[in-house]
Amino acid sequence: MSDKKGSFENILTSLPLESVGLIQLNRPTVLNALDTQTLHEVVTALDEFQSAGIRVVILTGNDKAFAAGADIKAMVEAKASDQIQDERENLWRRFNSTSIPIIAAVNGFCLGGGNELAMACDFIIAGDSARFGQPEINIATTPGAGGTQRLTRALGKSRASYYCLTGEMFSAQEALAWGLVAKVVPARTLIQEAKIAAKKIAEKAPLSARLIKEGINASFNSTLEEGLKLERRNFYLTFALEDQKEGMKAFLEKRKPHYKGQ
Amino acid sequence: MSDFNYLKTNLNNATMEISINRPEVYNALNGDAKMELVQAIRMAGRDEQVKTIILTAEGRAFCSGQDLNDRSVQGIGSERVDLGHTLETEWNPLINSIKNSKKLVIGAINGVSAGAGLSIALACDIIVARPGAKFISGFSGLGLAPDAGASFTFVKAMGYQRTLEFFLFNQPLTSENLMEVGMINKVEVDFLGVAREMAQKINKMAPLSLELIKKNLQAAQEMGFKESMDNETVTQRFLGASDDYQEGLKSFFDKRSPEFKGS
Repeated sequence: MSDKKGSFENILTSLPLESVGLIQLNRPTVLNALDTQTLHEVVTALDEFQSAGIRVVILTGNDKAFAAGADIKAMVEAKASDQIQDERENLWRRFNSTSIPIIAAVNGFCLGGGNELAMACDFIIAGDSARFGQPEINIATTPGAGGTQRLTRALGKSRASYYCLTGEMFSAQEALAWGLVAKVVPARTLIQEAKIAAKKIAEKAPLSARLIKEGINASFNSTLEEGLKLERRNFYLTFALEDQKEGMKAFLEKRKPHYKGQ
Repeated sequence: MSDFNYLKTNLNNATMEISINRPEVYNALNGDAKMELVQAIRMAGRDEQVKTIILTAEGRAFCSGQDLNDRSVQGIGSERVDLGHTLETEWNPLINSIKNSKKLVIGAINGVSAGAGLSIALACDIIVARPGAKFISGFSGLGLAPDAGASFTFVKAMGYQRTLEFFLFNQPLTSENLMEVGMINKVEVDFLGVAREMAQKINKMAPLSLELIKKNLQAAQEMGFKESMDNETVTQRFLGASDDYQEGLKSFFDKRSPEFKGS
C-alpha cells in the first residue's frame, strides 16, 4: 500500500498496525465534505486494502470533522439527471459490499453524507465531542445515501424523524444511548481506541469476522427466518475451515491461536 | 491586539487575561458582548502560546447577566420573545466555550455576579473571588427560572433545598458561602494576583494532562462509577504513550523540574 500513497488526493492511507488499514479523509478546508472523488478514493483504498490481505480498516476524519456532508458547492447547480448519472450510487454499493470490517472513528461533525458514511461502516467509535445529524432538510433536499434508512433502524422512527425533519444535531452521548455508536471515548484518545478495537478484530479468525459482518448486515435485509438460515449456514461453514480447528485447540491448550484465514 | 468593543484582553506570561469591559452597566452582556467573549475564549483555546485563561471584569461587578436593554429579550408590542433562542444561540454557547475549552479557565471574580452572570462565574474551572463578592440569582423576580447551567451547577453543590431557597428568594450568597460548599477555590483580597500565581503554576504542567483532567472530571459529574473508570483507563493509556510522560518520569528520577512540550 505504501507505494500507492501518492495516488490519492483527498485521503491519506496508512498501515498503523499489522493487518490494520487506516483511511483518513483529508479535505480539512471543507470539513471533509464528501464529494464523489473522495468517495471514489475511499472505495478504491478499501479494495486495495482488501486485496492486500488487510483484515480491518479504520475510517476517520480529523479533530474538527469526520465528514460534514456532501459537497454543497458542487451540488448547488446540479440537476436530477446529473444526480441520477452520478457514479455515487455505484460507489456506495461498492462500499457496502466490502467484506472486511470497517470501523468509523468519529471526532467533530458527522453530518449528512458524512453520517451516512459512518453508519455504513460496521460500527462507530465516537470522540465525546462528536456531533451527529442529517441536516439535508436545511438546504431543501433529503438524505440520499441511507440517512432515512440506517438512522431509523438505529434510533427508531420517532427520533429519526425528529432529527431528519428538524435538521438538529445530536451528541455523542445521545448517539451512544440510542445505539448508533458502540463506544464514546475522550476525543483525544479516539484513534488510539479505534486501533485497539481494530487490533482485537485483526487477531481473530478473519473469515469469522467476514461471516459475522455478513450475518449482521443480512439482519437488515431479511426476515428473521432467512437471517437465521444464513447464520446457521455460516456457522456450519466455519467447521470446514482450518482456523476453527486451530481456535478451539488453542482454547483447550490454553495458548494463543495462529490463524491463517483458511 | 484587542479588537474587542466589550472586552479587554492581555497576554501575560502565557496566560490570556480576558476582562469584561462594560462597567457602566455592571458588565451586563448584550448579544455582541457575548459573541466577543465566545470568540476571545475560543481564540485563546486555539493559540499555542496561551496555556491558561483568566476571566475577570472591569469595575465593581463581575457580570450582571443578560443586558435587559437588549431588544432581543424584550419583544416588540404584543409579540413575545423566544428566550430559549437567546439561550441556544448566545448563553449556552458562551458557557460551553468555557466548559469545552482545552485550556483551564480561572475565574478572578472581582464583584457581584447576577442572573446568567452566575453561570459564567461558576463555569470557570478554578475560581478565586474577592471577599464578600455577591452571587445573586434574580430570575424569579422577573418571573423566570435559572438558566445557562445554573440549576445543575448549584443543585450538585448545595443540594435541592438550599438551591431552591437561593433561586426563590434571591438572597445573595457570598464568596465565603460558596467556598464553604466547595463551589469556589479561594477567597482573596488580591484575587487577581492569586489567580495569576495559580496560572503560572498551571502553565508549567503538561497540557494534555491538564486537558484530560478537566474533561474527565466534567464527564464524571454526569456518569456512573464504571463509565468514569473506563474513561480513566482510556485516558491513562493515551497519556502513558505521550512524550510528556517520558519527560515526567525522567525528571522524577533526575530530581529536577519537568519540561513539558504538549506532545
